Amino acid sequence: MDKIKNGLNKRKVKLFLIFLLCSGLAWFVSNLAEQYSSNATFDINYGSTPDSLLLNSVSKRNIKVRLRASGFQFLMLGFKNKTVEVDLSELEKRGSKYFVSPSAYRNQIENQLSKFIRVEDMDRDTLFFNFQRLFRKKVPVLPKVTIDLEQNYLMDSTYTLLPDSITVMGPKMEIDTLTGLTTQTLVLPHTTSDISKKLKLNLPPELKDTKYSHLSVNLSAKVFKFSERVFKVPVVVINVPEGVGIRTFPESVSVLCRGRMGAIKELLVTDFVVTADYSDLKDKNENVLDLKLTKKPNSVNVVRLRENKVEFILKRQ
Amino acid sequence: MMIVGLTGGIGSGKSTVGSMFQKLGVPIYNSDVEAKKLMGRSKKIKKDIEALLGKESYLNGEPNRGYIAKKVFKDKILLRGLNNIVHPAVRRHFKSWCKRQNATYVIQEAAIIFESGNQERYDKIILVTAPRDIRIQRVVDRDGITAEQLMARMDNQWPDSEKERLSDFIIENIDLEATEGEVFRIHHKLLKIKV
Repeated sequence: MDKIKNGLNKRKVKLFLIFLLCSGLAWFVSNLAEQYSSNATFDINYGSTPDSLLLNSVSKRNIKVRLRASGFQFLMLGFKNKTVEVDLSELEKRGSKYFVSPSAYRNQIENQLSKFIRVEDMDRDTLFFNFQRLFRKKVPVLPKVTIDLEQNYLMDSTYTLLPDSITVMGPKMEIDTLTGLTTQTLVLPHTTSDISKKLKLNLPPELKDTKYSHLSVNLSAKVFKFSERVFKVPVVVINVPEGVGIRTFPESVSVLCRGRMGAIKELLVTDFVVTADYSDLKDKNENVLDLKLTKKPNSVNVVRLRENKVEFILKRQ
Repeated sequence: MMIVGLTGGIGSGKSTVGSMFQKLGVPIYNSDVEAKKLMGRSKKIKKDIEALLGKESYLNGEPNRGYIAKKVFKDKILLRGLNNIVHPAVRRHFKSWCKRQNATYVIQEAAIIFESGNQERYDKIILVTAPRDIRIQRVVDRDGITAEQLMARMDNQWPDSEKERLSDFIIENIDLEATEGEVFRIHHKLLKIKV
């Protein structure tokens, strides 16, 4: 053993081994440059399935191909994932059968291989597909949202959901069971500022073949600090018979406004009109008129009459 | 240190006014909030409430507020019993809270200062008012309860006219800006008072 070790340490032997390795490599490389024919099996991925169809089963999941290429190409092919894609966007249909002809998929496969690889031969089976028809339906988003506002804060109307409905696509049996999609639960206590949240949708796990146009929705709301103000607005009586004057008791009624502090500050009594329609009086012996707020500003969120009726007396003129 | 009571009917805006004082640096003790916390964490209160109203008063260790409210809503004896459990505990807690404060005055916010005959405990009382119909509208909009439900609760409280006679300061809380001005004015008056 020691003799072998000592021998290997000798310069001449080392040089010999290096030259042997180099010549071996040169031989290997020169052989790789040669052209060879060999068989390969590719797994097939089916892509671009038509939107209205769901692929249930296929006649082939892989394909045998005889290739002609240099040793280098085969070596590189050996390291690659041997998968080819067959595009189903131009699927042919005969009767109820969907298929792709061998010539169509051969072209597709050749285009996916390196230009230095030539396909000598390939399975000549037509690829048959079994599809299930997909149906579309729009379902509302059902928010599971609780927003508690801090005292003296209001929300502009209500919150908005974008989108507020989702298009679902799937087998009829699946989507028929769907009446709406709930969001993840959101609880916002003591809210004092605008809200903007992305909410995930709760997708029913049992609907395995159903697809959704959106997986989440955006919730937004404008929240602001409000103030209140009460205005004394004179009552305007309309449709009073000619030659008759009318006086209401009280002559002015109060209107409560609630809205943004800035908007509330700018309001004037003339922004409101409270009317009582004499012609609405069914019983002319009655002396009470109903009040309506016929003009109100849009800049505030809540405008309410604090009294709904006024008494009146008629005066001959 | 002066102790100021802040009271007002439901929907009058006590907490709004309280938060305005808080912004001016006044320590605020919210009796309702603290009572709820004490009901949740005090073993003695829990034991006493369960003895009074039954085991259903607590669910998973937390007060079953719906059940408790239902039980005491129409039964004045049970309500008094519940108050006799909770109020002394809140008073004790308030006293120890006061000791930790360093201010000219502190405010205790409580809905029923007059109704429970506690007005003597305060050096000054601030009453927050608003017209009844506006208060009803506020609470209906805020809590989503019906006006009838609310009016039944309001009937258990004194009318503002009676409370006004016994209060030192009255704040009509409608216009927030006006309320803020009034809070500022009262705050400066209270700072000048020597007890």
